[in-house]
Amino acid sequence: VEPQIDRVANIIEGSVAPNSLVLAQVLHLKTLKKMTTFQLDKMSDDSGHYAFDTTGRSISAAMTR
Amino acid sequence: VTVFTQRGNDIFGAIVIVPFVGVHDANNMVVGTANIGTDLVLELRNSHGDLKADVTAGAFPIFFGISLFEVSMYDDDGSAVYPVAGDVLTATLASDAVIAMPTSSLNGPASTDIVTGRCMPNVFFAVRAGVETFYGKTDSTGRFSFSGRLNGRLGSGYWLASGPSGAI
Repeated sequence: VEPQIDRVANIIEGSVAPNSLVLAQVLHLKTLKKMTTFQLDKMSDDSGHYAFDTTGRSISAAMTR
Repeated sequence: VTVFTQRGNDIFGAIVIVPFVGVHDANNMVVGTANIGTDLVLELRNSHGDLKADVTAGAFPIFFGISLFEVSMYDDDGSAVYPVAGDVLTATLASDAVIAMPTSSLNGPASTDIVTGRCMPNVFFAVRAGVETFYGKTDSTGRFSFSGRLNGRLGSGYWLASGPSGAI
């Protein structure tokens, strides 16, 4: 389950059971005072691989604290 | 980053921190985290590109799936190597893990109530003065300057004090 994170390509990926729902939550520190939470979900493929591409995630789809 | 998945009645999850490296001026200890299974090598070079230290590191778990590495840098003779302005630290945890050590300073004379300093350009910073914390962002030259007396971000005045209670 533990993901590998490519912070340059903005990819979060890992392995779970095939064809399973994967939920991801990303806490992003926009500044030292502002934190944004992103919620993501995706189904793993037939081999169990999952990947989230967080490039260009819309702020409107996130919660800002 | 937190990841969850469900299989039957069981829920599996993991918590990880996005790979990062942290280094302090004139401190030979480096901390950070990397993806599990990463061969982690850190190199410190001076402004001329000469190698000052190269070290390997392994992470240790601290909480659930969160792991950190902590390593001290030494040269081939066993002497501690300290990052200073102009040095460049690279780490294999990410292709952009390259830190050019900035020229840094911090001053806050009680006679003027003005804190001035310098660190990396275009970065967010926090300055703690006594028990108060002030936030800002450096300009393109890495400089910042604000008045402790007139800091609008907190909406109230703050007077710098001499001695340990006024440390910044």
